[in-house]
Amino acid sequence: MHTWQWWTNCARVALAMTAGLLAVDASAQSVDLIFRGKFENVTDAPATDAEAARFLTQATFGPTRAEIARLRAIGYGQWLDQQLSMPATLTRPWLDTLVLDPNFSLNSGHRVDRWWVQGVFAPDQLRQRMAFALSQILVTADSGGIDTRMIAEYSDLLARGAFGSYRTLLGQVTFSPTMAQWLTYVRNRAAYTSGGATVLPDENYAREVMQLFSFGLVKRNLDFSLQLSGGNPIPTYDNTIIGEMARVFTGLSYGRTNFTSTSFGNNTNADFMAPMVCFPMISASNTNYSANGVTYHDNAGKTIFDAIALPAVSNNQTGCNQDISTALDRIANHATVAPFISRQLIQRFVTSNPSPAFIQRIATVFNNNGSGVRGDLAAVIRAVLMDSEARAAPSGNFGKVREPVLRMSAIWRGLDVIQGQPVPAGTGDVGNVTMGLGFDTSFNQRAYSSPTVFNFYEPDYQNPGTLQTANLYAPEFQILNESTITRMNDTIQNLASNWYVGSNNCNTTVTRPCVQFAPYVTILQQTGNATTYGQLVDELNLRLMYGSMSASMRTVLVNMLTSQAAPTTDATRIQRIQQLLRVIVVSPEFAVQQ
Amino acid sequence: MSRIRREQRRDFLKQFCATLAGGSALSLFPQLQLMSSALASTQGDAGYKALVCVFLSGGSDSYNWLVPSDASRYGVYQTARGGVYTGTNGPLGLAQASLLSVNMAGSGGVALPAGHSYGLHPACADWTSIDDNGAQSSMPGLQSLTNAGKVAWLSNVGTLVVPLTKATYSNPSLPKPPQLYSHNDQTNLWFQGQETPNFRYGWGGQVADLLFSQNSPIVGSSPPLTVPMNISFAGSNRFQIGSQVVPYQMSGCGDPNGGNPFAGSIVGTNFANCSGSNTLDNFRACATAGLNAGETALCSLLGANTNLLENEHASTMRRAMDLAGQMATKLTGSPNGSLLNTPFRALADNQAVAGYNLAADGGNSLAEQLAMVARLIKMRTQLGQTRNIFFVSLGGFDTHAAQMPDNGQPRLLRRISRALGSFYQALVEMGVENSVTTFTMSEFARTLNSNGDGSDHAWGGVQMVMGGAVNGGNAATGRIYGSFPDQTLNGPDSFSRGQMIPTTAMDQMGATLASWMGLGSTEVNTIFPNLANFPSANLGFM
Repeated sequence: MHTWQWWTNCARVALAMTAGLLAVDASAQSVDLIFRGKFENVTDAPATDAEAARFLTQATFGPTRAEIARLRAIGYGQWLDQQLSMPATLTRPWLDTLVLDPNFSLNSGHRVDRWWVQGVFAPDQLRQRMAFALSQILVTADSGGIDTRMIAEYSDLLARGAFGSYRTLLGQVTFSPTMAQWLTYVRNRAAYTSGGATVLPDENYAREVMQLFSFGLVKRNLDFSLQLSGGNPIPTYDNTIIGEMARVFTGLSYGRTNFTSTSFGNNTNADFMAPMVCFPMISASNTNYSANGVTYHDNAGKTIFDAIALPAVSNNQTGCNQDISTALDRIANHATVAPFISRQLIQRFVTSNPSPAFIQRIATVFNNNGSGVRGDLAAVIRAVLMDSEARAAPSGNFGKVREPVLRMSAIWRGLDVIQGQPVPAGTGDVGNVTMGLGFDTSFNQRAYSSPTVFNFYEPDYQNPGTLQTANLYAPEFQILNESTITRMNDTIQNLASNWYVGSNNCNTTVTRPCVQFAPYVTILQQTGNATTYGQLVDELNLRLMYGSMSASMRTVLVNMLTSQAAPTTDATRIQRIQQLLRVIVVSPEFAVQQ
Repeated sequence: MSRIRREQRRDFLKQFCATLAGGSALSLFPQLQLMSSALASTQGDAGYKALVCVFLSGGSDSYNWLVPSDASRYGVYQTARGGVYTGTNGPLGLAQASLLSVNMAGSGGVALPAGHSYGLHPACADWTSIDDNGAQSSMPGLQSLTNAGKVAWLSNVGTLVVPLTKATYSNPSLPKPPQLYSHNDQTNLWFQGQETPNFRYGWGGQVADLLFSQNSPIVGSSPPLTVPMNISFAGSNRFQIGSQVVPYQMSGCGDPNGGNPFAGSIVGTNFANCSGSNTLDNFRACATAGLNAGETALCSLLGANTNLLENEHASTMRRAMDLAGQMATKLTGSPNGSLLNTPFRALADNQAVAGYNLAADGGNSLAEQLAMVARLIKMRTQLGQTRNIFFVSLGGFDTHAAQMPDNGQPRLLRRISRALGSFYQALVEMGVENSVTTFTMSEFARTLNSNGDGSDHAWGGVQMVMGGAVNGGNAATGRIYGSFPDQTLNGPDSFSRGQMIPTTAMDQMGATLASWMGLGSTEVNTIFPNLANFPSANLGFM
């Protein structure tokens, strides 16, 4: 616990412990994070609470008053240092603990509850945000009926690897049984003959690892502009190369400790959480056995994109691993990876329409972190958040529509929501910390539940009408329409304003998130007039909108309150506060993060 | 109109009786309901026309939907598919005996080449619906609808810029559609009606740009509000986007035979089948009299904004609040005039009767969406609509794995057949089956060759068009348009894994439908700029 001393002045740590949030990645490097800000000159601190809150809106699941104060005390650099070295808060160990209770019945809702607990309460905010951003690029989902714990393990994989090397992460993703089920390459085999017919390898992963997970369909310059040949975009591959690449991703099946000659094709002793292994192998020590004379991995030479030749490899596990590793090296080193991934990360954290120069600056860091290392994701996300374009005062159409779940998390964090108590014995949810109650189905966005590998929305989505005419991208609008926007707003209003018990303290037995109204009631207890209403609006402006509320919106809100009879009891004061919250959280200014 | 109706009816009866005399009527019309449908099939609303796009997302393996059943061509099919699937993963073929026989003629009703015949996937059979009260109804599937001449099948349709053959494919001077085999790119090419990458508009949207002015405001709406001509029940899609027409997106979540259609987007009471069962009276239209202080404040925040992202968010909310309330007055209420007798859902969850247990089959979201389409069509006059283009979608067609077990492709095709069968019956119930044409699209077909337990991305495939206006009309036989390819792997029409080179462009298919909607050839050629590259601008199936 010594590494967390800087945090202990925050009451939140107690809450985090109740949710098991200290179940962190034990393998992570332990670092000294002693609070230094009070003793050193901080030269890179945000000048105002509003600036700090805006940064935290980009970098976390939402600013809190405590985190705003801390960031202002220690500055951006140290804040990032701390966040980048903080161990990962994990999902699967939590679920594994829950299922120890024989009465507990695990389903995907518990995983999603845990995702919300981590997003709203975990200390490793930037890591959790990065994992979520990566989950929208390296997509897997439980929508294909994949086991809940496998999805949880995959989310942990992304959290652990969020600040590591892109190439390392791509390797872990490729060997993940979760991804292999999702993109159907588990037990993918070298071409074989069955009943006289030739069966060829599944092309699913071969295609998407290039189209979506690395460099995309066409060659691009560092600033994401198209490379052209004779005026036309240059495709990165064609279907012949897909066929070749499909041969690379053959021979993978579930790992296990007791291998037999039929392990490739069955689940006996299979470990669905561990990285897959490449067959042939008959035991952990004998990896040279070609089971029943079958070659599962296609070990012949292949020609992939840019006419790169992958040499033939030995027909054993070493050869197979070498073949896949070489192909992944080639993919990760493709020149278009940097602009392709960098642009999407900028879109997830900062703005839907970064300038070409912004993308180029990040892509340059992606290619070289300054120490000659390529694909250093920690360096990349630091560069994204500290870029001059991200930190400059926003203007024009800068910013992004808040992702639906990030709208919700920002509200909860901004209002210092109290986490509910674990569900008591008596139901299949015993021990669970309830957050979602399934509400996020009305958001069209539920972590690790994208309907397809194309994520909830695509980076190039343009909403028809005004935005399209202005040639602006707005990925999040792909899931916002006349039907979903109202459904989501309705849910957000209720969660922001209704879930509370009592006016001063959330009851200790409540098993759901609880918004405390006491700080705002106190403001209104002074008197109910335009001045105190203004104070109330300003407080919520800082907490929810990083001080960005326009003067006209402020006037509208103050007028709304003054147009009604002044509240004289705490109950009516809470009604006014709820009314105010309900308008703010569905307002266009809140919906867009600038 | 009534005279035409009588004459057509008489013609049909004549044909029907002739068929009856031939002794095959029972096999032709095994279902009483379908028989009544077919007998009544000359109805239409001359003032109304609608297209319904059924998008099969993921790339449908459509060469298992329509299969050559004659011995010679079936043999080729079976070989290409690696044999017949009998419960063990590997082969992707259907057993010859399992195919549902259909009466099929070629374009214009000409007989198929000697010895040629076709069968449909067994999931296209007629079926029994059981409603909430346990009442059973015999319902048509695509087999009966084909045999009644209500369905045209289009063979080997795909994205093309110019005609290509295996021989000319490798000619670098002939343009190919960009990003073949890629889901999102090929989807957009089907939607756009042209091969320009990232073209902004869809052909459905461009058709609507030319027709939307024929619609009027919702009857009684004040201030007058016009429902957008293009309505999606399956989220955003480029198909419906025009330069002027922006599609209105509704939710298909709702009890198709009742309940509330808006899935939480209106003031409402019954959201039983939707998440978020709240009263949403804080989202009333801004023009509503007597808004409370909160509503007034919110409405004043929904004006123009200089940040276009905020502006778009505001206008989307405003449109949602304004339209939902107005449309709700036409779609709800008691009695609810939009409800239909056609059973769209079979809710036999706990009933020990033979038939289709929908819940056990994973539901049928396509049927729910189409039920909402039908309800809007029923209220078309009140809603001010004379032209519509609807978009519905069913996902799950990306069958790289586990394609052949019953909960794979068979279930997908069952959902289509049953949803379309119900929808057609609903159109007959409303008397508008000649005014509404339903068609499928899918980004690509799949490799005939197996990858072990599924198929991979390919190119040209089979689509279908359904409606009373489909050419073939009352001929009591289905028709197939476009040439059916040689299914030999790496044969004259395909690459090594049986990726078919299309012989009909999706532009031709779209142009035929756009022409039926009333567009002239100049307009059609503008929307489909590559149309001139192909031998016919109208495939003749309408």
